[in-house]
Amino acid sequence: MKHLHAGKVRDLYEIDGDLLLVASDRVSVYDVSLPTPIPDKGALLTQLSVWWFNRLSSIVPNHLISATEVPEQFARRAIRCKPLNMMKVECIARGYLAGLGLREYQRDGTVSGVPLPSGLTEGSRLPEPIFTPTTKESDTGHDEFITFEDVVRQEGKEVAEKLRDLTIEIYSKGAEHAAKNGIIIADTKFEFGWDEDSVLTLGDEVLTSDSSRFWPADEWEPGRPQHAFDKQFVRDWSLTTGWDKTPPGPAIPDEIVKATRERYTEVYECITGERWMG
Amino acid sequence: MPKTQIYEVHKLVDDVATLLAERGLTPKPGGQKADDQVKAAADLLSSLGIVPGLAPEHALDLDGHKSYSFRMHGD
Repeated sequence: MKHLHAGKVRDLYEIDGDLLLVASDRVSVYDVSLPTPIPDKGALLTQLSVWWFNRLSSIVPNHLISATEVPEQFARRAIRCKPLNMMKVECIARGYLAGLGLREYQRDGTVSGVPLPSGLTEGSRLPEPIFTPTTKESDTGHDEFITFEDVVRQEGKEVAEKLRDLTIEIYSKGAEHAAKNGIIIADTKFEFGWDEDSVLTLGDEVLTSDSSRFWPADEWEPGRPQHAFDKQFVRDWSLTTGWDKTPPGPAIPDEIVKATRERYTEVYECITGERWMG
Repeated sequence: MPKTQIYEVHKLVDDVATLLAERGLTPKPGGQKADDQVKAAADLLSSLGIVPGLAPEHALDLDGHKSYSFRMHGD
């Protein structure tokens, strides 16, 4: 087993020609890994992602080979997957108005350049989901939003249209299922790549609390900040500490660790309908 | 439908650097201009009708989806 890359939250290994994507219990906010782990976070996100991969496989092939044939020390928090030639585009779908998208809308009436009707407010549901791609690697070191036309230039028209349509279809199917089970998926990010047969394939992790914005449906109320089921909870807490968003991050107190773990667990149980055996 | 042609952008940068070195030049791949080199390689591939790709270790965001978090949440 060869260690390819160590991230703040996940690690990547090569094993017998496959990739091993290992999630840790670490949590990173404002690009800083906090010193306190959230117990079971890595396993919860991995198992949720596996559940989605299986559910969404009728829409698009995915990179998952096995969630069980992994080294014992990584059990439940690792997946063995196909190495893909990854796209340079990150595919974001938004169904609701929040975060930086809200700020752009209030300023320009658009989100990532996509015009939206007037009268929307914080947390509003968009008339229909929108595709707001970003590109990897930029001068700023962060992704930058690009237009659909940029994706056409970079990937070609046929591939760009497929990426857009798949992103909206996967999001819509996922959001519909989550909504029936009490969770709003406000937005999410997908990553695609090409397998060895040049088949467009869904990669990375899917519709998890780290790659999505989750809200409890029964508390949704446009016009105010929404109760967060995702990493936003830790983000919000960290700002109450007076932390300046530079390393080292603050240690997370026990009650916040417990509440965060409960949120991750609740998301898993609501979406999958299965009890988490932690 | 013809098979999609894909090429890894970092590999193209290395290929070009090797070619130039063979021709007596001293290219400097990587370093502070690495992002520019990758972007240029991707642009070249696109203009040649080849889809630019990234190896998983270059593409997967293992830092907690920091790019998504930055763009969506302002991290």
